[in-house]
Amino acid sequence: MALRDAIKVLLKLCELEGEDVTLKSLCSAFGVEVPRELEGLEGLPPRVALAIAYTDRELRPLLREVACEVLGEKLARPSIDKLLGKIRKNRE
Amino acid sequence: MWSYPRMIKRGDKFDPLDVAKQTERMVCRNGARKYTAFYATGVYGGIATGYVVGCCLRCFFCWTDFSRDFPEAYGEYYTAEEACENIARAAKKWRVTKARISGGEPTLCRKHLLELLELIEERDEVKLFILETNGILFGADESYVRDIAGLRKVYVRVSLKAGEPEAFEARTGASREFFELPFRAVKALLDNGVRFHVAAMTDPRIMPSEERRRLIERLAEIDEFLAANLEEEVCDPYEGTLVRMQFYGLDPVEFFGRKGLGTT
Repeated sequence: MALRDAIKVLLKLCELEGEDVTLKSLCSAFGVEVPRELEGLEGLPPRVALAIAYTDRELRPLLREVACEVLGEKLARPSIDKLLGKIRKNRE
Repeated sequence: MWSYPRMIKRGDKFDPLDVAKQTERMVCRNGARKYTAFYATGVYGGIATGYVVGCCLRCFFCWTDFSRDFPEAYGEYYTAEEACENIARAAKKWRVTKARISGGEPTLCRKHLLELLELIEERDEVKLFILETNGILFGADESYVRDIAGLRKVYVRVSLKAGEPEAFEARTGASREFFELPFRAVKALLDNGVRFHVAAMTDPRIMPSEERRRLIERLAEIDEFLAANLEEEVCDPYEGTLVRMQFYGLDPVEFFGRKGLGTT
């Protein structure tokens, strides 16, 4: 998978679980290969790994570009899916 | 007469910088800070944690224990050396390499925090230190951000509470004129090359969708990536949350639903 596509997938997966697992385990669970550029960050939570990658001057332009693409979808959603599911379950 | 704010009711408001100073008088002493515990927990995939006492906001949905509201009654003072030792020991015991300060606001007691972070830099047990903050003090004084910018293990998580000044005041008790401070912190962290991401309490039971949208757009104006990588927080029924919510005038059973109450 090209780096651009992988970053896009990862940003979306972070909406499901971005903090309490490692990048490696999230990728493994969804059958996504950890991009070579993020290999040193595999042991970190995915959102943290992406934020650290963003401080890399070479990766930053691509990450920003992908962020702009993902942002539209994020804004279009009323709220996060995992939360709406949880609320519905608790109210049943 | 000014009194120290504890739990808030609707309509309460205060100056968070003043509350920060008042709280510091209760939880900081000669470079030491009050902590209630050192342990490791499963969040972030496993992290050693020092639980500090005291905060400068009074969010009605806050999950922490009652040391936030009664800082004078909880915790023991630890020097930066003692805190570092305890955090490193917890990391070693639980075989984790990440560490953080949680519970209270870590940026209170600046001297203590900076000493602790310097000491953490030297410890092999900790590879990454996550600083979870509400951004009030970083936003009020950019030199504080510059102080941490050179530390290679520090990673910051800024948690936003609202996307509008009125909502900020209603949820945190901090006067609306301080609403900009966390956003200023975000800008300062970005400008100073600190590694960080932003979180926000966007739970739709607390934040209306229009406000969430404005918050994300506001973040995107600062930086699109920060907005796309926003961590959206969920309000869970911790004991402290239930009591604060009830005091605030919200019925926790109505808020969480009967089944939801027993889920933490």
